[in-house]
Amino acid sequence: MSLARFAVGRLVSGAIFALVVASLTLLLARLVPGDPSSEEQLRRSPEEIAALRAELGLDQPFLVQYARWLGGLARLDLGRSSLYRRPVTDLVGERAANTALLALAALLVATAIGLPLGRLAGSTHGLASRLARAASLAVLSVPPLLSALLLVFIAARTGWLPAGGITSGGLTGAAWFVDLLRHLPVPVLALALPLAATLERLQARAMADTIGRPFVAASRARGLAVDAAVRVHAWPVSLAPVLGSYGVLVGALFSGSFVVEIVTAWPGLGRLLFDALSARDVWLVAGCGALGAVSLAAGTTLADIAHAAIDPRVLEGRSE
Amino acid sequence: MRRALLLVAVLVAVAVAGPLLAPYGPVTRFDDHLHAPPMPLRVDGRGLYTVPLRLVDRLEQTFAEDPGQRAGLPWTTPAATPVLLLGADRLGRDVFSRTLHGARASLGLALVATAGTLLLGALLGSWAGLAGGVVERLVLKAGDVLMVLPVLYVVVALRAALPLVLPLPAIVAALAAIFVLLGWPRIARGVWVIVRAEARQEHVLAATALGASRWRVMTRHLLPACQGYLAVQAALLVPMFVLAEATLSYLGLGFPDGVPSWGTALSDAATISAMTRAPWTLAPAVAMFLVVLVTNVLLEPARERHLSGAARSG
Repeated sequence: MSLARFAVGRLVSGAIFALVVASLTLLLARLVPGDPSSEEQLRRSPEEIAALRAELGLDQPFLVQYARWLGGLARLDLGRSSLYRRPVTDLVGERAANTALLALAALLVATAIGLPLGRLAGSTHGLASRLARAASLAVLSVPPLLSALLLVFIAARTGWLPAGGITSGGLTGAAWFVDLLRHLPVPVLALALPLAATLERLQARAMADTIGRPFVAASRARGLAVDAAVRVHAWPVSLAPVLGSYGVLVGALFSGSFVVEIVTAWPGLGRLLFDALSARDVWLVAGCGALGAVSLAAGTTLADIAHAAIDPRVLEGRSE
Repeated sequence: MRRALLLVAVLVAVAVAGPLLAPYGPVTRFDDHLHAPPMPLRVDGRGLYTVPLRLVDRLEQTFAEDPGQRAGLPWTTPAATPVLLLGADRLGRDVFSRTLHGARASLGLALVATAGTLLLGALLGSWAGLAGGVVERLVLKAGDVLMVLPVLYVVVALRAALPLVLPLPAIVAALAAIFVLLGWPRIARGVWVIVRAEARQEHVLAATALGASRWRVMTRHLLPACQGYLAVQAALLVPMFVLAEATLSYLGLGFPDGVPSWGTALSDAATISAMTRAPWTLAPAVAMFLVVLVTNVLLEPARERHLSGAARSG
């Protein structure tokens, strides 16, 4: 199979996945007992309630709602949020950008910490290697919920960094940017540390496996020093299985960012979905689901295609 | 495998015995000890003792030790002078007792969900491995889709789709069902790999040739081969579900406030003001950390295989 065919195949199944998940979210949102008009029951007359439901399109049968929603999706119009009284598309776009910022920063930090430490732990047997291993075992035991709480606690106790939110508000230009940077470390580290530990373990194992393979011994036999054999031969090969796991990590990244957003009051997609669910804001829930599904499909698809480009064995379906 | 079984047994024991060991009830309030700090255990020639705290300022919630006063351990001291080993929360409830009581709800739910996940995963996995064809493809594909989904989003969305206020048994059942729904694919895939390999072994072929039914082949020859794998997975699933409960309760979607669990205690403690005022109320977070850490350290080799996606382990 060529890379192009593989990529097209993955894109198509990614698109189907996104559509199915988005549709299920809408179904779920309609199964939730109550809708945005429920809260108004006590305050308004039955006629007003009926008008409100008609305005939101909730008086139609589910299939009609679904068809309209799919039609809207094609025009990037996901309806109006009853909670925020704004078009869902704008709202979801803004929040998804915040989540993307958080997730990408965390992924970068986790990669920058995890891979070098994993290489160290997998290729040496000294004190540093043991420390890296012990540290990642400890960090692996602190999931995002606890790491977020811990970091918020430290930030609040010491006052070094703002404990929550994305900006302080009322700032523009360079001051706004610096303020944003000051808000980043707490949520990004909360999300990145468990991920870095996971990557460290994966990389250490891949490294140890690779060093045991004959071609590394062969390069040593040709007279290469241990360092050079590891750096030039083992390291690039050991990267392939680790990169292959990034596709699975995208899901973990999303899950983690959900908790971190709630704990640190980061205005991202997870928080928006939670608020929308609490407020029974049907179209906002569906919109969050749709965008979440699209980003998830995009993330895993990209990771899979990148993996196939690096490791051609994937194309023949015989990667480990 | 032996370590994994031992670990699960210990967790069951903690869930059963935790509340029995607690010196005070989960909702017993000590009105003179709101936000009282922990009273550390001390040792002298006469054995272990603690020094009771006296309220100094009710508004500021400051406490002072009574010099010369001496109390024993909480189990032996009359309730008039409470001995709060891990301090008290904002309502004056003993954090130590509440953490022990919470173990039952948190670990109990996790254990029930783990049992369900293993059962469903083993059934579907071995069925897929034996039947092959459409069943196999369907089970694996469904599992793949479920495994890619971000677990928490799905848990929160599913829980939100159910009525918020439910009787306690219904909540336990609903939460366990949600956890099982999201947990089975990984188990099913692992069991499928083992069953597929095992089904080609001579003893299985012989049993089939002798006319054993598919059910007998499965229960007598294939599932026993998965024992080690399932034991390790059980030990890995429990802490995962403990954390899931904590997260849901933290969001107000898990156990209701009245039920002492590590999650509800955490959601109480996890506001910035509460954390800076009384960090000892985070004891349930430490309990969770310990459960996960012990699992990780004991089962590190198995966990690595689990992370790298390979299934077979023992």
